[in-house]
Amino acid sequence: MNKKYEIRDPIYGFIELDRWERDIINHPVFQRLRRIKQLAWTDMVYPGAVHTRFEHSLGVMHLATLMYEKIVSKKRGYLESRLGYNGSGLENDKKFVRLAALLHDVGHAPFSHAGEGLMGKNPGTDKPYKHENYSAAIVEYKFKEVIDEHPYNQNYHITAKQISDFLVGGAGLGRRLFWRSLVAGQIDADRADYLLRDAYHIGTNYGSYDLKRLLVTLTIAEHPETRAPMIAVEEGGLHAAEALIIARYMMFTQVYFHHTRRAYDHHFAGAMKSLLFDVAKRKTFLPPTSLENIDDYISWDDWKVLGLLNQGKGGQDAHALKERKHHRCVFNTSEVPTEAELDRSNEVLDMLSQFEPFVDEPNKSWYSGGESDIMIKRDIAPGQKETVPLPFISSVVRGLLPIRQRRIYVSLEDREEAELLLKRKGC
Amino acid sequence: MPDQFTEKWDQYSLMAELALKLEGVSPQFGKTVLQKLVYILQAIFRVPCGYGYILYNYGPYSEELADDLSFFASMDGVRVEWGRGSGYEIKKADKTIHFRERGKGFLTQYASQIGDVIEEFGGMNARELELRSTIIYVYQEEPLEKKDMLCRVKEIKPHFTDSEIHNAYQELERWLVSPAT
Repeated sequence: MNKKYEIRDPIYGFIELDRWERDIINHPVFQRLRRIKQLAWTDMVYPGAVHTRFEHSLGVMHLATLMYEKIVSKKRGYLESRLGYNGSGLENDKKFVRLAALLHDVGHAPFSHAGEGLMGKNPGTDKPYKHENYSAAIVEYKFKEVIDEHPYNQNYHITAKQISDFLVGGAGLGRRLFWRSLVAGQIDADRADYLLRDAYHIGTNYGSYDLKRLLVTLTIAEHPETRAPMIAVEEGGLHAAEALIIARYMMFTQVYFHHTRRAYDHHFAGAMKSLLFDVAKRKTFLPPTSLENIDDYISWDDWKVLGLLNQGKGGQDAHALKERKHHRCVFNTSEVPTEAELDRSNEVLDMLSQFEPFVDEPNKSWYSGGESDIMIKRDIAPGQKETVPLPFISSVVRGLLPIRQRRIYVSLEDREEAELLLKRKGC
Repeated sequence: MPDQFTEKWDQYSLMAELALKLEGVSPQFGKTVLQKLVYILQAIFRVPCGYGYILYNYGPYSEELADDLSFFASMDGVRVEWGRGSGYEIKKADKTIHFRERGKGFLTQYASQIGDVIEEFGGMNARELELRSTIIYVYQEEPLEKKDMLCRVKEIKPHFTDSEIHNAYQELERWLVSPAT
């Protein structure tokens, strides 16, 4: 019998799981997520922000399941006729989505996104690896046994490789590509969970939106340009979808991009770089390309970093973290700068070069149009529907321009002199 | 730690160039077409646009490129409009020519590759490019035998017919075997 277990959760009440999922959660590599704070050093600004990737991962699994179930119950016929599903296929993919959602963040570095700057360059893209690349590799290297060989998998035949492909958008996804936007999209379970969870722990209301309304209005539509099937929202969920985008905008501007919080990301990256060099004589984490590298990577978590910092390691940046003496922002452009402001920011940077400044570029689109559009399916005449992107019918979302702010920070000691210099130069 | 700002004038100039050159060539130069053409420029023609792509709903997709387009539009670099029933359209705006000039060095350096992409793929619609870019993506990730390739693409894109996939693969074969350098 497939015994069920329940874990209490501050957002959803209880999260239900079965023996297989419990075995995955009990895996030491999953337990490592208990030692990685969700919001890094955000508690330097918002003291309540000390929750971890562990509870977020459980929440994403729970929420992805709710989304999946709502869509299947509403559009079973379409899934069967257009995507070739049958009853067992839908049950199989529900389990698949649950596991992928549960494991989507296992590749985070210590202190979550703050540690991503220390990831080496991916020769395939010529850009630094992302935590998703580590998640995918960790699933393949460390969770293969508990996935592929688990007795509960006899009816599913799910493989760690399939989940790994799902997490990075690999080519082996097959029709499951359709479900990927439940874990990596604009109304995905990841965003839907972290907004509510982060807001709850921080003590703000910025992350609120009407989750229940959003869930009951999820549906399937076909893209007007390509006719590709995709997850969409019924017109009745228009304002719930808007609210989620606005919640994201508020959380980013008020919390994630807070100028002091971003300074601590900088200091952590500096301290972590120093620790990596001290401990392993390296400038970056090892790439996610072998079991040996992955073992080394997952040996790093917040506890290990804090232990080393407590031993006095980590250089000047560790001192800033410990004493809360962070660099100060002395110049910033508007959130959505003009071309002239962008050029001006370079001139200011030149002016401040004597102070060895660092720059910060919080950039984010609240709404990415195009392939990841939130599509709204609405009635235009009796029996006739059309599918349009959210900004087409939402002036609020249409008006949210992407942030491309530029900031310049100098040390606390240099702050006064730098500000005086800028004042003299009329900045 | 970064001590310089990230400049994207080359990428903006490319978007400006495509908006200008595809006018009257593309059946509809929208967001999906932009995504796929830049992907092909990077993957086949080796133009260093700097975008990381993943497989998304309609084939290879770069969120960073989508965000760059939004910001570029906010600077009046292009206009992005939604046509009811037909999808997005990217059109030239007041500052398109200005931004193209700002990245002239990049455009001059890669003029022949950009010209080739426009000639070979510029006349295709979003659906045609969705299929072709997906084939390229699958091939680049794991070059398979033709039969296995076609199966894998069909699994990812069940809404395309076997013959659509087969024909697109035939067209692309020369690029897959011998990518331009």
